Amino acid sequence: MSLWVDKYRPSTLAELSHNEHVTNILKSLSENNPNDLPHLLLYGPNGSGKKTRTMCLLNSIFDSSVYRLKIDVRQFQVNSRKLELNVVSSPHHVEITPSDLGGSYDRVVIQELLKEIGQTEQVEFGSNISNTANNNSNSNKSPRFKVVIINDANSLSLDAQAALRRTMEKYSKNIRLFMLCDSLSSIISPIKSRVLLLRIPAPTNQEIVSILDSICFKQQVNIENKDNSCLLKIASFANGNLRLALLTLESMAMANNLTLKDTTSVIRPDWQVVLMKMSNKIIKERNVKCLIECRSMLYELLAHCIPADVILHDLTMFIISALANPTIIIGVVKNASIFDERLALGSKVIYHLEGFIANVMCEMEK
Amino acid sequence: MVDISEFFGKKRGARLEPSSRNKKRSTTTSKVSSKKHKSTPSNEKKNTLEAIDILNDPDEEQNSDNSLIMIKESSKIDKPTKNASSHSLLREKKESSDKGKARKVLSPPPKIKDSKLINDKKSISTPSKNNYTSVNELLMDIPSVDLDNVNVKDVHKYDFLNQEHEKETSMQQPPNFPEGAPECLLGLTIVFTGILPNLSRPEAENIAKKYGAKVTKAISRKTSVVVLGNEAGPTKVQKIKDLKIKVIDEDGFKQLVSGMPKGGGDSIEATKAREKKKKMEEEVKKESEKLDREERENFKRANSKLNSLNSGGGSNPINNNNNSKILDPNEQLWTVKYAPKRLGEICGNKSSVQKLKTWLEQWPTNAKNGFKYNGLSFRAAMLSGPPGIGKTTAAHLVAKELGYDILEKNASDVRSKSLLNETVKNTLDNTSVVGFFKPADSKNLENQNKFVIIMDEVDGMSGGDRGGVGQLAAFCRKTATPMILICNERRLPKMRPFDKVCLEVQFRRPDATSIKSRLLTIAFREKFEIDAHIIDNLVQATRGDIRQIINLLSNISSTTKKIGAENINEIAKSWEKDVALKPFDITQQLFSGSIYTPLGSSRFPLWKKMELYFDDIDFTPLMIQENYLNTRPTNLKNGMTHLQAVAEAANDVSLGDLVDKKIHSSAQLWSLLPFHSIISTILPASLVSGQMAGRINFSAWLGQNSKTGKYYRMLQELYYHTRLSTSTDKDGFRLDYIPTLKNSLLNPLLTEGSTAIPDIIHVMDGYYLSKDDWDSIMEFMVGPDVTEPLLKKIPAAVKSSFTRKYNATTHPVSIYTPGTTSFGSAKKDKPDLDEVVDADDNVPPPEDDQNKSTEDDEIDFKKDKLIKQAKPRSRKVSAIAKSSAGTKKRKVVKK
Repeated sequence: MSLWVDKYRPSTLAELSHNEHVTNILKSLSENNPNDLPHLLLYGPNGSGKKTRTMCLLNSIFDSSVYRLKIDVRQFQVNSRKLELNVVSSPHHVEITPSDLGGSYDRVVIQELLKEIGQTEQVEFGSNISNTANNNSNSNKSPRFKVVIINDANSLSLDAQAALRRTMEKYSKNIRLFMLCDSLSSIISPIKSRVLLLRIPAPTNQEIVSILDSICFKQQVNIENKDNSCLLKIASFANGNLRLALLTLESMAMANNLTLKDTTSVIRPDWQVVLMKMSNKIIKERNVKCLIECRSMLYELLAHCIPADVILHDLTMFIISALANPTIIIGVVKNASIFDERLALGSKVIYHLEGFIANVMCEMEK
Repeated sequence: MVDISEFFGKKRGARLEPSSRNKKRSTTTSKVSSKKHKSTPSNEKKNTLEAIDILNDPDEEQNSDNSLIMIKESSKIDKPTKNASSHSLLREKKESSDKGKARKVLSPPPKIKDSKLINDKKSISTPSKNNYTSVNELLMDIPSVDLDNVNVKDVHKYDFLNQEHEKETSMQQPPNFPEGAPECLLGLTIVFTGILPNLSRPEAENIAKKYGAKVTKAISRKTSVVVLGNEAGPTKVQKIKDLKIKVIDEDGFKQLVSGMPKGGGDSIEATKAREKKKKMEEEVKKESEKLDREERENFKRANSKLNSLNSGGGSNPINNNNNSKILDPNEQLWTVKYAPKRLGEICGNKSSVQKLKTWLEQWPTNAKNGFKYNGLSFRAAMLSGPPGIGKTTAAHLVAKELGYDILEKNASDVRSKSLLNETVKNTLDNTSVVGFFKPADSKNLENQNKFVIIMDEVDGMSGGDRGGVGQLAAFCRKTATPMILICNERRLPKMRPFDKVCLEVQFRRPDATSIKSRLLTIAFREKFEIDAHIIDNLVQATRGDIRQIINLLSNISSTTKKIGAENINEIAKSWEKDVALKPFDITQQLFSGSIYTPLGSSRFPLWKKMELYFDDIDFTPLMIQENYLNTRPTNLKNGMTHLQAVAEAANDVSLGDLVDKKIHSSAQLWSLLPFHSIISTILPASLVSGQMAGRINFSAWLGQNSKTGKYYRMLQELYYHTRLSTSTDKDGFRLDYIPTLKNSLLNPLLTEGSTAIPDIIHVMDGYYLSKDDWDSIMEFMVGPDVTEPLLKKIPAAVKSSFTRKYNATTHPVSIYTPGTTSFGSAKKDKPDLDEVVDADDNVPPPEDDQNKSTEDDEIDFKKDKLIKQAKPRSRKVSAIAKSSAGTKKRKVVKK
C-alpha cells in the first residue's frame, strides 16, 4: 500500500493528465523513429511531473520493463578517497544523481560512469530478437541505446558539465541523456545547445483540483460541498506543486476520517509551521532577543534538512503577506534578493539568513 | 637664580648643534622680547638685559661672547654653588619671602625662562660638574607650567594623523636628548600626561625608567613631579592643582635628567631608594655567595666520593676527571642549576606551598582518621596553574623536605586505564625501600619508608590514555599513599572527575617583586648586568613564567651579555609573540568596548586587532558570529539603535562569509585574509562592542554543521530506500513526503493502537522502509510536530508488538550496501558470547551454531550482488525461526 501520490502516478503517456501540449511532444517523439530521439533536458518547478513524464516516455519507447528498478552502489576511487554512488537502473536505463557526492566529485561520475555505459552497446534478448527476425519494423520500436537520467542537473558543477559536452556527442550511438532540473540558469549554454529543451510548467489550480477530485472519487473521500472550495484551498496552498497537493490531501483526509468540509483547515508541513511562527515573531518583536531566538530556530530547521533557499523564500512570503505598507514590502524583497544571492555565493548559510532577518527587522522599525 | 643659568650653560649648550641652535634662537628671541617687559626684580634684570643685548646681535662671534658671559656669570654664581646643599632650605625661605606671591609654585617666573633661554644659546663650554644634590632644589629651579594656560584636550576630537606618527616612534632614546648621570632620578615618582612636543610617551617613560624613576599613570599624593604636555586631560590638571604637585614641561624634564647627580641626590626619597637598592644588592651578593659555597661543597663531596670509590677500585685519574665533569654545574641548564633547592627559595605562591606542606604533614594523621575531619583531609592534592611557575618544583621540594621518596609519572609515560592499573595500583599501598639503604643518621626516621606519587601533567592525559583520568580519580579516593597531581588547566571538562576528591592548591603567576632578587642573584653569578626595572618588563612579557625568563637570560648571556633599557623592549616583544591567545580570550578582547574608543584605538590600533584575528584565523570569525548578539553595546554611533548596529554587523558577517568562500574554495585567494579579518571580525565586533551580556559561548556552528551532515546522510538513506516507489529528489522528499509519511506511519498507532500495525507495516513495505527508517522519519520533524512527546504516548505494549510483528515477517529491501553487512555486527557480539561460554564451558550455546550457519549463508549471498538480502534485524529473527535461507532472500524488483 502506497501513499496516494504514488498509487495514482501515471505510468503511460496516455494517462498523463495535465499540460497536454508537452505530452503531445513526447508522444510524437516516441512514435516517430525512436532511434532519432534527441538528448532531452526537462525543466520546471518541483512537483510538476518531470520524472513521471520521463518514465512514461521511457515506457512508450521501450516497454514496461523500465519500471523494474533496482539500486546498485557504485564505488569510485578518487585519489585516496573512496566514493559511493547509488545508481537506480532498469534493463533500459540508468538514473544517477551526481550531486549526492557533493563538491566537485560529480565530474568523476560523469567521466567514469557515462563513458563506461557509452562504450558498451545495448544487446537485446528474448522477444526482441525473434521480433526483429519476424518483423523488420520492430527494430525501430526497440532502439539500441540506453537512457541515462541525470537528476538535479542544475547542481552539476562546471567541471562536470564540461565533461558532459563531448561525451554527449561521442557516445550518442549508445546513450541518450535525459537531464532533469529546476531551473536552466546554471546550465552552461554548450549543453543547452546539444539538447531538446522541454519546459514542464506547473499545473494550474484548476488542473490540480480536477486531479484531486478524481482521486477523492477513487478513494471514496467525501467532499461535503460540491463546489470543491476545499480542494481549491489545497491547490492554492500547494502553489502548483501537484505532489504537495496530493500528499496534503491524503493527510487531511486521514485526519478527518475521509470527509472534507469547507471548514477543514489545510495541514501544513511541520517546517512551514515553524517558518510561519518565526515570521510572526519577527513582525511583532523586532529586537535583538528575538533575533537570538530566531537563530536557534534556523539552526533547528537547517539541521533537519530544510534547504536554506526554501527557508528564505517562504519566510519572505509570510512576512510580505502580513505587511500592508508597500515601501516596507519593497525593502523586505530587496533584502531577500540580496541575501538570496549571498546564499548562492557563500558557504555558511546561517550567516546570511540571520543577516536577512536582522535587516528586515530594521526595515520594519523605520 | 644665577646657578640655573650656570647649570644650563654647562649642560644644554654643549649639546646643541649650531644649526639647530640658530633656528631655536630666532624663535626664542621673539619670545624673550615679548616677555622682557614683565616686571622683574632689579638685580636679575640687569643680567637678563645684558644677555639679551648679546643675543639680539646674531652675527656676533659665538666664542667671544660665550667667554664674556662666562666671566660675568661665574663671578656671580660662585657663592651659591659652593654651599648649595647646606643653605638650600635657608635660601628657599629667603626667596619666597623676597618675591612673595610671585613665587608660587604654580605660576612660572618669567625671569627664569628668560635666563634659561639665553644660556641655552650662549654658553657652550662650561666645566661639567654637579651642582645639585637634592631633587627639591633642582625642581625649585625648573619653571613650573602655568596650569591655567595649559592646552586642555578636547575629549571628542581625535587626530588620526597624530596617532600614526606616534606609532612610528622608536623605543630608543631620541638622539637629541641629554645624557644624565646613571640612576639620577632614583626615588622619584613621575607622571607623564598630555602630548610632549618632541618625545613620545613611551620614549619619555623609557627615559625616566632608565634613570631609576618610578613611572605611574595616575596622579596621587606620592607623585613627586608631573611632566605636562599639550592636550592633557582636564581632570588630571584639576587633580594636579588640588594636590599641589610640581609641574614641569618637556624642557624641564630635560633639565631634571641632566641636572641630577648620580644616585638621585640626597633627598629623603632618593636616599631611601638607594638604601633599598643597596640592601637588595647585598642580599643578592650574599645569596650568590651562599650558592657558590654550596656548589663548591657539593662538588667537593661528589669528588671526594668519587675519589674514594676510585681509589678503592683502583681506576685511573682520567676516568675520575671524566666523572667529575658530569657534575660540573656550568654544564647544566640554568633552569636546573638555579632551581630552588629549599622550600623557602620558591618565588611567590608562599601560601600555596605552605598549604601543600601542611597537607602532606598531616597526611599520616588524617590517614589514621580515615580522612573524615577537617578541610585538608584529602588523600590527594591537585596543584594547578600556568606553566613555569614552579608547581613541579614545589611538589618535589615539599616531598623532599618531609622525607618522602618520590615516584613520578608524567606525560612521557603512557597512562591509560589498564596501564595505570598495572603500574600504579600496586604501588598505592606499598612502602619505599630506599630508606633502608640510607645512613642511619638521616633525620626523618619516621618517614623513611614512605613515598609520595607525583602525577605530573595530568591534563596531558588524552588520546592514548584511554580511561586514565577516571582511573586516576578512582585512585585518589582510595590511595594509601599521598598523591600529588599537577595540571595547568583545572577547569577543563575532562578534569571534572577530580572535583571534590582532591585538595585544590592553586598556583598563581608570581609578581615581579618576588622574582626580582632571584633573577638578580642569577645575573650576578653569571656575571652580566641587569637592571631591576628591566625585570618588571620581562615578567610582564612572559606573563610571570619564571622558567621562561631564566631561559631567556641564559640565551642573552651567551650572546650580548647585557640586557638594558636599549634592548629590553625588543627582547620583551620577541617573547610576547610566543603567547598565543585562546579563542575565548580573543573574543573577549575584540568585544570590549574600550579598544574602539578614540583613546583605546591609540593604545590598541587596528593592526593589533588584526593580530588578534590572526592568532586563530579559523575560530575567531566563528566566535564573533556566535557572540555578537550577546553584547551590551557602549560605542553606538550617533542615532543608531542596538538593532541597527546588530543588523549592520550581521550584514558584515554575511559578507565575510563570501570572502571566506573565496579564500577556501578552489580559488584559494589567501591574500584576502587581512580583508577577511576586518570584514568578518573587527567591523562587526566594533559595531556592537561593549560589555558581554553573559558568558562567551563557543561557536555553535560547528556542532550544528555536523548535525546537519548527519541528518543529510539519514535523508539520503531514506531517499534511496524509498526511491523505487517515489519520484522526487531529496529535498522534495524531505519537504513534501516526510510530513505525510509521518502522519500515515504514526497517527494510526496513536488512534487505533495495535490494530493498525499490519496496515503500517504494509505502508512501510510499500516504501521499502525498515524499522530503523521508521525511527529516523520520526526524528525529522521540527517545531510543533516534534514526535518525541507523541512517541511517548504510544503504549509500551503497542510499541513492543509493533517491533515484534515487524521482526516476525520478512520485508523487501531496495538497496544493498556492502558497507553495512551483518557480518561485522555478529563479530561485535562475540565478546558477550565469550563470557557466556566462560560460564558454561562444556556446552556450546546452541545459538552460536545457528549464527554460524547464517553467517555462512550470508557470505554466499554476498558474492552475488544481484541477490538482495533482508536486513540483519529481520534475519536474526528468521534464523531463530529456522526458516530456510532460500525463502528469506528475495530478489527485489518492482512490478
